[in-house]
Amino acid sequence: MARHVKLWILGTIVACVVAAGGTIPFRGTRASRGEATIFTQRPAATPARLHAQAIADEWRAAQMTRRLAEERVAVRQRDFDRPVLMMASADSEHATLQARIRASLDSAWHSLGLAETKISVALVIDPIEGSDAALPPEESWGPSYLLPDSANRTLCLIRLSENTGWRRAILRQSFARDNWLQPWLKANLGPCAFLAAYGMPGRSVRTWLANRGYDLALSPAWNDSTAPLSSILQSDREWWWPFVYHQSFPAVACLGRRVAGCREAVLEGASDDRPRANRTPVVTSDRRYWKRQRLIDGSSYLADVARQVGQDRFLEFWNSPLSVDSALSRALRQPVGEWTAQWQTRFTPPIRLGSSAPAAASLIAVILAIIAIASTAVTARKRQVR
Amino acid sequence: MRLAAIIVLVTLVAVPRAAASQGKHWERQVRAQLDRTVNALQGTSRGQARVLNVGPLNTDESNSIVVELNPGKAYDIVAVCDEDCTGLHLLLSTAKYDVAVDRSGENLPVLHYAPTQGGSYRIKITMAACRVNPCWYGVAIRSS
Repeated sequence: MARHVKLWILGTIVACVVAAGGTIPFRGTRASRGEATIFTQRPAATPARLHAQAIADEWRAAQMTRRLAEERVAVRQRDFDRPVLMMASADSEHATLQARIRASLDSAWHSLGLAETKISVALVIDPIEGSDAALPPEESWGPSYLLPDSANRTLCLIRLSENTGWRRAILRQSFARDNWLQPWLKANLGPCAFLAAYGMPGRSVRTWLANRGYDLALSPAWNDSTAPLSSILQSDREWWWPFVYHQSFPAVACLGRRVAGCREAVLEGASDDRPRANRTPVVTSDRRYWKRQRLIDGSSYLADVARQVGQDRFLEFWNSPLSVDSALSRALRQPVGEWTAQWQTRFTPPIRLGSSAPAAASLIAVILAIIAIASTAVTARKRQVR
Repeated sequence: MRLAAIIVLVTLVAVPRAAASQGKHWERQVRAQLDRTVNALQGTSRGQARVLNVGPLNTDESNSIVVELNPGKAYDIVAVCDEDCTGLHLLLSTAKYDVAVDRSGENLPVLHYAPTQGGSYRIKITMAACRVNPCWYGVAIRSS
């Protein structure tokens, strides 16, 4: 084989290796050290296992509904003008634990600007059920809510499962200095804080929020003007790509500041197409909440709307008989999609959507092209016809 | 006569007075209004007045109460609601048809009815407009 042919073959192989190095793995799916705990790929479950898990989830949901209903009956007889706190445990540390939670809960309530409200709030903290090994154990994840309904229009119930970790943290000596409990309880007031502050929403807003699990009214942060760090960004403000790929298309489109995507992300669930019987006053937090979010960082969306438009305009929207799109646009004084795209800039920079070549790979491709053209030119100059 | 009674009622209801009963601010407010109304009804002429119900309703929700009415008597039915309520409707009906209605759009509806036939009648209270839901309402009846 002629020497220059060998060089060509060698050059091609080297170019392929360089190109592969520049493009594989694909940008955005490169493994990061921190992802293993959440994003580890598990083998797909068998149909039988999936069926068993679905039944277990149904069981847990039914049990949760039952417990919430029972706890509401226990609370409803009381007369109160601040959140009621009910704790099931009665050990030696109970008094200290309850006093500290009581103080933080009152502080959280007042920080929201709430006093006596038409819809009262009760916080129930009780131990996880699960002594029977034959039944699916209760999951200690997030709070569950029983919103007011026709059986009780004036009480919103929050249930938290007692957790050994935070119990110890509250009883620790450094508790007063750390002061983590007040913001944590404030966040857990969730939709109950909204109902306490603004009352039960009108039919269209109620249906919209119920259809989407009150995801836009989970964080009553209407007095917090500083935006929290987005859950979709890493500490160095780089995109957390595995997280991005788990979200809904409208949510990602809104991250890209596409107005139509933002509008779709916010108004999903606004059309009243679910049977009335399927609506439940129970709101639960799912352990898979981070997957397929309808709007990234949307838990404080309505709190931000309330802060921006003021109480009167927010109440007008909240009780409006108009469609959600019309009522919200009217309160915001601009189309929902445009306002939401602007709102999203509080949390994240715009994400680049669509196919795009990474800068490093583009540079390598240009260098390879220059090398290929130059070597072709040199070879052509040296060619001799005999 | 009816107009004069309504004016007396409205005047009395509008005068604030410390509430004696327990409960939330809005519930106490409605109970106090209703107490004054019942007292005013009893004071204007002979007859019995009584509170039928006090409770919360969200906008567009309604509640029904069944009452026994006797022929030969005239009845005044009055409803009041809290400070956030801007529209309360009252409807009196038999099992077959409506006999009296006040949907004037105000928060103090009044019905006056003298039944020709005795029996069960249904009073339907509808919360037409409420600024912060739920709004508390109360309903009372006076026979003469």
